[in-house]
Amino acid sequence: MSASRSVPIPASLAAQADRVGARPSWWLTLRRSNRTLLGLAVVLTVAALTILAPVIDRYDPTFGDFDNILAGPSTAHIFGTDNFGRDVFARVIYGYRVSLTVGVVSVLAAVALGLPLGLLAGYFGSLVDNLIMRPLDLLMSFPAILLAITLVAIFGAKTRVTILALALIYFPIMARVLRGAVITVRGEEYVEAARAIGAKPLRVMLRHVLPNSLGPLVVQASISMGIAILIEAALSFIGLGTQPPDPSLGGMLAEGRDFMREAPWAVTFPGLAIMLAVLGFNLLGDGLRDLIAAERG
Amino acid sequence: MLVAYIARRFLLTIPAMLAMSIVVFFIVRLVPGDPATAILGIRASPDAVAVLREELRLNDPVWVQYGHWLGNVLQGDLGVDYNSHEPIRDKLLTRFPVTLELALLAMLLSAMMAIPLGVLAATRRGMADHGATALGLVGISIPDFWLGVMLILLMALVLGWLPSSGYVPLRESVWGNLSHMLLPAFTLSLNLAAVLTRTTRAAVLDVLNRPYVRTARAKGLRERAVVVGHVLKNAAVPIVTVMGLQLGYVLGGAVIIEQIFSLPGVGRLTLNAVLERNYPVIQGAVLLITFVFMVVNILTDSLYAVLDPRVRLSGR
Repeated sequence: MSASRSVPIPASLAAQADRVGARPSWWLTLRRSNRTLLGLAVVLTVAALTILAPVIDRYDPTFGDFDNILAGPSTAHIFGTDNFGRDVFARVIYGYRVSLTVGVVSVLAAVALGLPLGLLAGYFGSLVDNLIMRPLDLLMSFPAILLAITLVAIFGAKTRVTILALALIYFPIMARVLRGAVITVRGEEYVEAARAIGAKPLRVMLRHVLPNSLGPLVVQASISMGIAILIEAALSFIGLGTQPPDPSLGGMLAEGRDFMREAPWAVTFPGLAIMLAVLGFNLLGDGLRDLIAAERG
Repeated sequence: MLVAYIARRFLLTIPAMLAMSIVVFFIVRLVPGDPATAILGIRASPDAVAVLREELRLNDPVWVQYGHWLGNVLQGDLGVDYNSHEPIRDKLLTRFPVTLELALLAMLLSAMMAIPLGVLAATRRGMADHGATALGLVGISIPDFWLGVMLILLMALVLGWLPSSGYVPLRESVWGNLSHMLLPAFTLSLNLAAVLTRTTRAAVLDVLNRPYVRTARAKGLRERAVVVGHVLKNAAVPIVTVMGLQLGYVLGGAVIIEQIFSLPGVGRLTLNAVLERNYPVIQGAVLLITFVFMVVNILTDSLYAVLDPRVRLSGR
């Protein structure tokens, strides 16, 4: 098999065969890891709650029922109500909307920025690598939460600024993770073979190197989603993220602190909700990492 | 040779610190609004504003302003607080020890939990391994500010065992200080312990199959002596690296915990400066935190070189 790979044409065929062969086993591989499946289930549940929020919710998250202020959990309000009589469950679900939107958009932006940089730095090495990575190292030497707070100081406390801050925190990490994988892959035989038959660098990078280097980036993206949700909640908690009356999980915690003695549910459930979502993304990321490691053998 | 290694690393941070100082300086210039007006308030007379603008050298070209500012910073003059008119250096110097104590205490608690658990997870597997996995996952998924709030609710409001917030200097009362520090330090430590447990477990597992461990066992050493004397010593490099990185992050990132527990540290100072738009304080605090972060990283790397002589050789 390895002998045939050094013959020009089968090289791309072999790469293709790998991909075709991998596809049916994708689900089988996934099923081997309970951790990944559990993580996926949690993430999909949270996503479903978010998308279906208007359908499942019996209450408007901003509607205050003043006859039911600080009511404990009951069949009418399964997570209880807050100091304005707002349904905590409804607010948790709408809070998830903000969390997930911030997570998905910031991570996608970070991948969009980091992917080309990491690919170029890893593939070309030497001067290109230094030109790209040194400034990114500098950006990474800045404590994340501090960077976020500084940006808020300049641009104001808005959800959009949170997304910008997270994207800035993450894109050097994405670039570095991909760069590492690219450095390993670029020395593989099929890459050499593709170059030998005269494929242009761009084609080699996009068709051969990139598809085989994406694993670690996917893992990192999943874990980053979890951290993004944590940081968004933290910023909203200290008043520098999503602003009230919009429901956000961090904001709910901050408001709930003032009456947590009378209504502990108003701080307990939003916190548990954050933890569940973050746990889901961490399980998924961890599981995928193990699966990739097992496949590499 | 070690001294040369450390000196070289310090020289390498000079360009990074310079770049950071430019960023910090110009970030503040990006902000709409005039610093002189910010200091004097919007009702100040135009003449007073003009005088202060001249005093602050705001009419100079921006590069001249930067050079002047940098010159002052290098002499330890970080400027004056817009609101209280105190020198920012003094403010930072009184607040930094609080942040440092919090960070060190959190690191200590984290190491006390994580290292034994990580070693047990690697050597005994079974229950300890499950425990380590659970701590690892919960510890990194739990929002620390929420944990802080819940701990205040339980330990201070319901049980009344510990004070909910505030700070007592160590000089005044050791117990008073520790009782105020315990909850915030524990809150911070859980997250650190999660990562450290994983690192310890992986590092120990990696070393456990090395030939010298087999030799130590073969010559009849007790398992305890093998683990402490041979395994842990060789697994120390990754553990120390992670702890160093964590110390840097805790020193810069304890903003929210300081806020929840009303600890007068650098993080809380920074946060309040952001909320008040007190830019010279933000500049000073960010510069200090970045500097400390880099120094901690260098010290970690140097410790690395002490623990593993190969690092020194290759770094030459």
